[in-house]
Amino acid sequence: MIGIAGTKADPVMVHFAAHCVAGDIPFAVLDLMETITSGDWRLSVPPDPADFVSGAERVRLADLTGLYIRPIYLGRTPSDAARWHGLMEGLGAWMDEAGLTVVNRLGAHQLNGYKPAHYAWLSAHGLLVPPSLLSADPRRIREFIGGGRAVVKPVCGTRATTREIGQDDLGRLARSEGPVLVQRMIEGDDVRVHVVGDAVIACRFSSTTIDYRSDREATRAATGIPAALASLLVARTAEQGLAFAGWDFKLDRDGTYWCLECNPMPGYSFYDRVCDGAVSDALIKLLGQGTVSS
Amino acid sequence: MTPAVAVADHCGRQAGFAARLSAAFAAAGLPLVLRTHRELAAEVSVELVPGQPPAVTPDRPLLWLSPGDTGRPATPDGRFLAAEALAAARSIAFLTRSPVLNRPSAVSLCGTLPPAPARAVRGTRHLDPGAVRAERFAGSWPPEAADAGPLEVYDYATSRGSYGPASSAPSPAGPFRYRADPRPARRVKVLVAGDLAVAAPDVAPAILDASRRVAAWYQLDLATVWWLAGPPDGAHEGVLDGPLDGARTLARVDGWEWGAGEDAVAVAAAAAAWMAERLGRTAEVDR
Repeated sequence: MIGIAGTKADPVMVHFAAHCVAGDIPFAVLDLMETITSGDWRLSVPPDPADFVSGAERVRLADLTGLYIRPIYLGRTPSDAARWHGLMEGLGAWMDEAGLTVVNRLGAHQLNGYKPAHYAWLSAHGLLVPPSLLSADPRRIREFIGGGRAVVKPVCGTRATTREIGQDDLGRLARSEGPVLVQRMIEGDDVRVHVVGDAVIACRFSSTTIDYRSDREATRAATGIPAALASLLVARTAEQGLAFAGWDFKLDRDGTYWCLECNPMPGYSFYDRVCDGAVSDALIKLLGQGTVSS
Repeated sequence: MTPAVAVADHCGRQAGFAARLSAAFAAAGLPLVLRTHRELAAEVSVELVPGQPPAVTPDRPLLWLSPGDTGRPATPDGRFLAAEALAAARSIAFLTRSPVLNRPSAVSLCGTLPPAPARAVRGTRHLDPGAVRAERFAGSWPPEAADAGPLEVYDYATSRGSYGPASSAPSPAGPFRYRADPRPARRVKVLVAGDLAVAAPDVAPAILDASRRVAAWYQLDLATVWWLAGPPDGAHEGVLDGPLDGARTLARVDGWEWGAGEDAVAVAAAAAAWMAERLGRTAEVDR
């Protein structure tokens, strides 16, 4: 039985659970927000057969073949925060020592939230990353922008629409309170690659906008990627301690794959629809079910 | 000489520690400047060009001492800017080529130390299996704990720990982390700075060695390792003011040094000695 730990307010969790239902795959829901507000838990390290988490249902963790967790905190009160802290510390310790497959353990790489370090790690591990600059120095930003089209991104990995930055924006940047991360804009299609264990599932988007995610007219289709790149991504995903990752690329006119980032907790439901559920199928297979729905 | 940078909350809760660091570095003949995350990010650039190593400008020796400034910003914009400053500062510390004390890694803001205390302790069980206890976590006070013997209990609602029989827990709210209380034993603090380990004179060399191994495992140049140390085998509780060379139990591993304890001067001196050694200078501090 697969464990799905998260919150029903997360559309990705709902998507995966719906896929399990459609495929008649046994699963248990660990609604972590219900657990902290009205449920209970007992977790042991080393793990114990009696360990459980309860919310809408009581789940004995020893019954799970794999656990898919997306720990999204939605609490509001100090009590919520204390209970979340206690639950996550216990669950994190339990996952470190439990033998089952976990997507993804808390001890995996965190660099996606620290973009310059993330880019440097990717670059040092065989991925081609567009040139970038982190700086609070308006002169250096101006020089970078003068060298070609550029986009501005959050340093901390907060989800934001990517947008182009030009010389006209420099005055506003000079008055900003922090450093700015700019990256050379790569023109071409976007390719999103999901790695699930050894499985590689990719889809491609063509859009006239800077950020295809905001373009409802973008064309989209499942696609293949070069075998060498697929092997590299499988290896680099595992090296980060991840069982599941979403890799973002720009594919330029020369056929070069430029790596933009590796997401350690990919919100994959949108892409799964493009790929006819192939990502969910791979997750189900990885998390311990011998059969998949399609 | 390029000054070293102590990245600390020097205007907030690490103000006293920052003053001691400045004094220790001055005594060691090393220039030191103090910066918060935001101040560091405002004066350092990082450029990444394909095929070249990251360029951090200026690239200076760092003491990476703080997870963030005091207080949570009140507004969403303020929290975003604080997150941006932290992300920029962590990237700078990660990519700096000069020596960085407690350099952040891909898995942790401080060395490779897990941010959760239980995971940090349990993560060393292969180093010192007899010193790491089994643990439990519970959302409410579990009935079986009443028969579990003396316990060390941490209550997440109050952020307080207590020792003793489960029934003595004062109005527990929970959730709880609990583990066996190994007493009779005394709480022992060992400061590790590089190869140096500092503790009270009655702490056994084996505990100092074990502390160095824990710090090295988590790639910490400066760490505080807490133990529950017992008297020699067969001794009773009354001899706990004697040498502590009996069983040891790992209680906690800290990578952030607040410098608020009685040993703050020693911590600052150890940090200065660590940096002097990395910069190839004779340590002029008292080790």
